[in-house]
Amino acid sequence: MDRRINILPVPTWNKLSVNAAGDSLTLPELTKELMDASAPHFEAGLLPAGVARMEEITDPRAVMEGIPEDAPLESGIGSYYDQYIKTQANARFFIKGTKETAEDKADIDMKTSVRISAQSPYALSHHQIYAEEGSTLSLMQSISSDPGAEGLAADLTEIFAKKDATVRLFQIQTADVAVRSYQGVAIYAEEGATVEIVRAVMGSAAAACGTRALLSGKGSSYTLHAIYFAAGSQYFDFNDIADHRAKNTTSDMYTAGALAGESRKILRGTIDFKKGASYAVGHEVEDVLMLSNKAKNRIVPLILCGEENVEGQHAASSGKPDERELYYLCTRGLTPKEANRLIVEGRFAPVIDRIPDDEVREILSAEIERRLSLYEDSAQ
Amino acid sequence: MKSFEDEKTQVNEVDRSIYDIKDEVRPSFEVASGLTPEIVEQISEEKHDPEWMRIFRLKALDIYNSMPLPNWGPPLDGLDMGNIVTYVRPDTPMVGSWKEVPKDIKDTFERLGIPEAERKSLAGVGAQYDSEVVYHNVSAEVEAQGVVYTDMESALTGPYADMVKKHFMKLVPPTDHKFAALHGAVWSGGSFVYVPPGVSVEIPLQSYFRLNAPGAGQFEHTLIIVDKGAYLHFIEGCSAPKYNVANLHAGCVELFVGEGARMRYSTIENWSKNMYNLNTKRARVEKGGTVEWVSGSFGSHTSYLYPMTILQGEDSHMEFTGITFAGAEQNLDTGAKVVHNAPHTTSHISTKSISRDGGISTFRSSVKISEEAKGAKSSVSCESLMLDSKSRSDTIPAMDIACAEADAGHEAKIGRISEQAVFYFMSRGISEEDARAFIVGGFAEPIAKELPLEYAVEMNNLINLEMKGSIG
Repeated sequence: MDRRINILPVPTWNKLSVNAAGDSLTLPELTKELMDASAPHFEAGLLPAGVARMEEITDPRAVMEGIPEDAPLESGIGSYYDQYIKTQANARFFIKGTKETAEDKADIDMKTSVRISAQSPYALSHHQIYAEEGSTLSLMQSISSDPGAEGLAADLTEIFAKKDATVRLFQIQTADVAVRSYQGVAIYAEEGATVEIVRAVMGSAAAACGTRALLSGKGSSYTLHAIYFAAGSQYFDFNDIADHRAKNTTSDMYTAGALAGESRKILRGTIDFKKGASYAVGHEVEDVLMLSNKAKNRIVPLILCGEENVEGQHAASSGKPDERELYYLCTRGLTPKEANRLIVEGRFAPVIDRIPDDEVREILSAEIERRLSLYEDSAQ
Repeated sequence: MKSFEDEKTQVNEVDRSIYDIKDEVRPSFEVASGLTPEIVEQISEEKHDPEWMRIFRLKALDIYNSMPLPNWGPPLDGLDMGNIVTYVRPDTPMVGSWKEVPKDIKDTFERLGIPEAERKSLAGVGAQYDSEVVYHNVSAEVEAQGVVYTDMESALTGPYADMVKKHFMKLVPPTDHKFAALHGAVWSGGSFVYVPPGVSVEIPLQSYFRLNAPGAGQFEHTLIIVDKGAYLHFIEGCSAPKYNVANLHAGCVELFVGEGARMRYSTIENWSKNMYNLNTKRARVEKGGTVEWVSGSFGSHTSYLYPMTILQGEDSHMEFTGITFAGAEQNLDTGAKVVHNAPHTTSHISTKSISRDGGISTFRSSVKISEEAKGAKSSVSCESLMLDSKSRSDTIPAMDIACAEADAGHEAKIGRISEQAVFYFMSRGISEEDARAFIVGGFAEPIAKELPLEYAVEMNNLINLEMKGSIG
């Protein structure tokens, strides 16, 4: 069995080492004893109508009307990872969006949080989100840890968005560097459905994220707004895929990141236009700020195309903060340090502003601030 | 009126008849098909290799046998090395005058316009037929400047033997990949060029490769050394008639561009559609030097072609301009690689690809910026055009950046012929097929203008030909 994770949809030169995530993200073998010894630390708040613990539903598929049994659902991290979570998860949720949740104007319908601590070092969670026709549902997932706590936080979120449903998922990861984290998302969007993901990755020694959106219904759309800030010796590995299978589907993936210290990052972003996806439009952008000469930035943006009538575009850039911008800010009275900060923060703001929760926004801003200070100290 | 979606331009096959004229195969010597140490020894003996080369070949064969086939890229299932004849010596010695070239070989090259091109616009021409160069000539003026342009076999034992030994397969070692190892083991033919310091060769040199024997492989080695401050434009053209068995081209090009030197390397590849084109090209550029690649890929059944540039010296520069046109039965995987190893190096990769009639074109690139490359700048831009939904077009770029003080950018676009643009043309009284041909021509134009004139004309004809057809 292929145990690799974050596999590039079409392989390229092996020498580049981008065809799959590096060894430091190899999934550990978990024994039953280890899992049993780990107290589950999983909190869920703000339960909307229709939310159920997955265990309580004997067959979630039976509840999910109209989702084909063989819906080819797979997270961006890959099928090996998906099985790993499905067979070993110590927290499972089934969340259903209904017309009632659509009428409920709450910004966030449900929050779940995982906190890795000495008592609960292993948190593997499996979420299934089912949004009924025309429903709206939003979910916030956060992963954090006690300072210095070692462990593994891994989740798999499967999203089924029925006709004209809207699902918004916010993923915030600020764990300590002794933690390894994995966030896999698999999306299945029917006609007219909209799925939006906002993702912020700050913590963990090694973090893998992979979102795969299967746009199977006409006019379905998928957006991803992501930020990351790696410092020290952190290693981030991303594999995001927009799989266009129907007419007029749209995808928009935007990632802004900063790399400091000796951090490493690989971002694979794929727009895949399958035959029949006519008039589909896919956009993908990554902007990387390089704050250190020791950091390693790898970008692999793919466009795969088997359909003539499509528009696909990707752009990537990598560099340090623009000197003209810095100069301009300094002429306005900012110190170089302040100017630099403003530019870095400015890069993240459009994504952070999408998070409808003051507390979370503050946590992220503080985290960026902390990393900037670390970077400034090391730069001196 | 039918909707545009239902209306497709029927794309016709290009008229390849002048390439497809086959000569009777009358080699003076050929090895058995397959790949064994005996065959490699036999090639070495037949070519009167120096001892080091014989050892080099056998070592490369070992490497070949120990390496796996690539696990990425187009399938190579149709290629069975057991059926490939690695060495076919044409029944003629190398000559310096067209008159002495045997009539059938001469006729072939004349049909392809080679001698005419030489008279008109080239300073030197080499022509390779199957495994060996049959004609080599360089104009007296260029020779007088001290420029050396000769076939590799002569270079290996001639006055530049040491220089050849020092550079041969140093940029592309046989360990690089399986087909580089294969090349190292069975290479034959190709050209050696040396341009002395400060010499600017104003008129291009050209090598033309023709593979006539069915089921054969061509493994020519091109070694070019452009010394300090010199300039050279080298053109390479390839073609072969179509056979029902797989042919293989696994050539190797090594370019050494000295300090402040400039080299332009243009390739028009028009192999027949039974060809596996697994060519390796690499340049190393010293301080202040420039290499410019112009690459047109039209032929072949399967291609793996990614000219690579190592920007070794400060302020060195590379530019890559490429176009790939993939039609029925073709799987063309092309692109470029660049490594920035020094400060203030710059690279620019710009490619266009067109897929039609079930063809698959893949753009693949790699940009590496090392820690030392402060102030380096790299930009990659690739555009793809799909002419129907039977075809495929993939874009697989990679960037690996280990330097904060470097700027790297990448842009890719894929799309269709804009219906608005076609409508606009049609509203001005231009037929739909002409409109489409204009648009594709315009798409390819930035590349066409980089090509040598006669090739640009040929490419435009090719596009017009491909785009014209019944609409229905």
